[in-house]
Amino acid sequence: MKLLKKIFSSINILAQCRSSRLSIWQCPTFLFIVMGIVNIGAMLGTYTIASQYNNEPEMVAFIVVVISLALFIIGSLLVENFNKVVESNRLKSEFVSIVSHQLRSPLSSIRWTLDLILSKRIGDVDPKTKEYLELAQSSTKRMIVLINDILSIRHIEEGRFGDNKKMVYLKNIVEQVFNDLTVFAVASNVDLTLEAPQEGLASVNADPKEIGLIVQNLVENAIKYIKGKGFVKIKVSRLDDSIRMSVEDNGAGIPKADQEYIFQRFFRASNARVIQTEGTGLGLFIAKSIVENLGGKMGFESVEGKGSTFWFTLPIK
Amino acid sequence: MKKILFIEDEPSLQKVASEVLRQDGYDVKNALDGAEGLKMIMEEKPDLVLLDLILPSKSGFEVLKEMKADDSTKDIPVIILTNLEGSQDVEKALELGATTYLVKANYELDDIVNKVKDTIG
Repeated sequence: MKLLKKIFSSINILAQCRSSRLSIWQCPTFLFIVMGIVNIGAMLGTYTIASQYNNEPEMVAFIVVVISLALFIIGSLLVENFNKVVESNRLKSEFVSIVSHQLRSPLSSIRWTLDLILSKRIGDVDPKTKEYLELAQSSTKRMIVLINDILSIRHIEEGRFGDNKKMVYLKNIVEQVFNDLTVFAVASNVDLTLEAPQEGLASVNADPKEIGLIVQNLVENAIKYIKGKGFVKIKVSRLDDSIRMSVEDNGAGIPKADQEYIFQRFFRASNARVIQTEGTGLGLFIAKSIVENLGGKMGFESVEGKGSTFWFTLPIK
Repeated sequence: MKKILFIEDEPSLQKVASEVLRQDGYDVKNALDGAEGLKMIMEEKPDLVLLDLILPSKSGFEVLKEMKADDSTKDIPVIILTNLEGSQDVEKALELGATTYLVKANYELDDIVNKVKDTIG
């Protein structure tokens, strides 16, 4: 039984090593197991041999030296490869950061150049040209959002989110976003409403900027995925030990098959990709990570063609 | 005419922003690296410095530190225009005496111009 378990877990380790793209002899977990087995083998072996060569202490000493040497070599391999893994992790993180920042330089240049041309400061722009330049402008902005999202994810992975936490009222943040997005809602033919009790909403400990981005992301999503006329209802309410915020819409909804993947990074539902070509598939992943980091929960209910309700809670301290 | 010194190692970015600022009536001077920028700050005594942080020779932080240490230039307002955005970078720049900190990629050209107008009129 024990042996079975051992084999099973070692198979798992092989899979782990493969998924981190390390060869077997570079994979710390595998080496660790090998070292354990060698250790046990060495002890048993030494005992057996030593009991046979009772009268030849030199032989016993020799065996002990050989085995210690083998253990030492495996041990140093282990340490070296651990260091390699740590180093490659650091390089990866640095790489993402450098690439992202380097990418933003030429992108800012493209963005500002398009802004300049479209502002007609350097000459008139005919309507057809303007239309295409605006396409380029919106793609540039999308690219910038994508890079910002990737940087956010790196911050989450490094546990660097939530640096600026303070006691805030979720309702105030939601009201701010509601006011900011009213124009967008009207332009999209969407009836945007906010329902929140006058009193009794305790404060929560969170970074208002991060929470603002989450709320904005949810409400914008709701508005964007409505075809034609529709409604978006924002609600803030008090639960026993948390504050709950929800956004209900009668938009496209999420197909059943896509629902389990909706919080995965870079995932976008099949119908979302058709309705909205924009979007990075990172917003919900980031939102959920932040909410959970604050001890809250995030989820949704959705029926394709009927609409969705996305919600999250933040604990009251 | 108010004088602006724009220290930025990306020529295309410099060209675009300078064009707009000149159209709006500013005298815009350019420097492509930190050392040149600092020298020009000392010589020209501009009304405003637009400063990138990642620069060849001297970094933007060094330029900021040195100009703020000099009595003749310490009161010149500095707008940081960069693509670095770590909270440590922002804190460090503001501590060293920068007036405003803007992440280039996140702002439209008009926003930048408006910030300049807000700062020096």
